[in-house]
Amino acid sequence: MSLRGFLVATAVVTVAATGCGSASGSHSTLKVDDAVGAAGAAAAAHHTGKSVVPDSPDLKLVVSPTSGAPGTTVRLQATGCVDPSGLNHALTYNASAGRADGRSPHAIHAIASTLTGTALTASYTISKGDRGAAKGVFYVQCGATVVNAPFSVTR
Amino acid sequence: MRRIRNARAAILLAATALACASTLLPTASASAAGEYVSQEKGFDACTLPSTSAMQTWWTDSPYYNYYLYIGGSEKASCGGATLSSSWINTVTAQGWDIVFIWVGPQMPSSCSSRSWADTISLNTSTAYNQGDNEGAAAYTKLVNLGVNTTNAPLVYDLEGYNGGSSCRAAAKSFMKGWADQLALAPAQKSGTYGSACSSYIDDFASDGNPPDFIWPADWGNGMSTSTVSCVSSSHWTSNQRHKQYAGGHNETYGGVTLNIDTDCANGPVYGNGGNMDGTCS
Repeated sequence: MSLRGFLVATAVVTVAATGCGSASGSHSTLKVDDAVGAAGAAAAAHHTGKSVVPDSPDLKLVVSPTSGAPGTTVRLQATGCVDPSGLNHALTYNASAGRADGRSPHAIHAIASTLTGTALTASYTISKGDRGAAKGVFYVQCGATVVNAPFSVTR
Repeated sequence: MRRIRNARAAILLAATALACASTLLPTASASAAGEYVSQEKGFDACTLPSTSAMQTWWTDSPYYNYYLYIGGSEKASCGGATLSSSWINTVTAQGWDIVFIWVGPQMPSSCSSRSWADTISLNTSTAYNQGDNEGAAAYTKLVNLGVNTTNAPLVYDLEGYNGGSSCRAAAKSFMKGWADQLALAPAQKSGTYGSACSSYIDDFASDGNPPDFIWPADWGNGMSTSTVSCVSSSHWTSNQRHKQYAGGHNETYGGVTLNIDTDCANGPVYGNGGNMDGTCS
C-alpha cells in the first residue's frame, strides 16, 4: 500500500472507530445470513403502519374482442372488484408488453372506468401508436389483486 | 485497482464525515438503515413518486419494497420527485425497503434491435473496464445519497438483446467488471436486472465472480422467485433472487395512482427488512 493509501485507510478506520452513531441505531440488526431465523419478531416490527387494502379473490377481466386493428374499440368488463371506497382500483393498457429489449413507459395508457358495486366497466380504442409490439396487455387492479388479459394488435 | 480502492476510501471518509454532520438533523439518517433479506412484494417505477405518495402506498398497498433508479447514462428521464438523501431517509422511515438500480451502457446495435446512445464494447477487455467503471460510478452515487453502502443491494440494469456469441461474451465481461468493482471494500451486494431470457442472465453464473443476486424480468410466469425462465434452478438459490413478474401498468391505492412494474423478492434489500413471510419464495 502506498503512503497515501495508508493515510486514507487510517483516517477511515479512525473515524469509524470513534463513531458518530449510525449502523447500530434503533433499527434491528437482522442480516442476510441470519434473516430467516429471526423472521417473526422482525416481520412484526416491519409491518407497523401497514393496513393493506383487501384482496379481490374472485376478480376476473373479460376483454372483447381479444384482437383487432387500430380503431378497434375494446370493451372491458371486470367482475369481483372489491373496492368499497372507490379509491383502490385502476385499469391500464400496456402496448409494449411484448417487448423484451426495454420498457417503454410512454406506451402505458390509463383507462377511465365505472365501478358499480363489484363490477367495473370501461372501453378502450386501439390506436396506431399501439402497434409497436404485437402483443398488448390489459391490467385491472382492484384492492390488492391484479389480473390481466392479452390483446393482439392486427393490421 | 489499488487506485480505485484508495479513491473509494476517500469517498467513504467524506461520506462518514457527512454522516456525522447529519446526526445534527432531526430526520432519520439513511446511514442508519441496513441490509436485509426480503421475501415480500414490491414495485419499481420510472417516475419517482413523491414521499407523500409513498406514504399513502406504504399504508394501503400490498408492497414493502421499492426498486429505486439512482442514475446511469441510460436511465430514462421520467420526471417526478427529486432523488436525494432526504427522499431515501423519508421513505425508509416510512417502512419501505429499497433496492438500488443503475442504468448505464447497453448492448450495441449489432446485438440489439434497440439503439442506445451509450453502448458496451464487443472487446471483452474494454467491456470489463466499462463494467468496472460503472460500478465505481454507481458506488459514488450511493455515497453521495448518504446511503450506508456496506452490503447495499445495487443492481445493473442490462436490457434484453439479440444474443450471439460475441455479444454474450461482452455482456458477461461487462457484468464481471461490475461485480468485481462492487466486491471491493466496503463491498455492496451486486445484482443484475434484465429480461430473464434475452438478457442471458444465466450466463453470469459462470463468469468467475457472479452477481450476488439477480432480478430477472419474467412477466406472466407467476410471482415465485424459484421459477424463472431461462435461469437454472441451481443458480442463485440462497436468498439471491428478485423477480419482476408483471410489466408496466397503473395501480391506485388511497386515491394515489402510480405507473409501476411489480416485483417479488427473496433477496437482499436496504432499509428495515425482516419481512420474511415467504410470499415470493
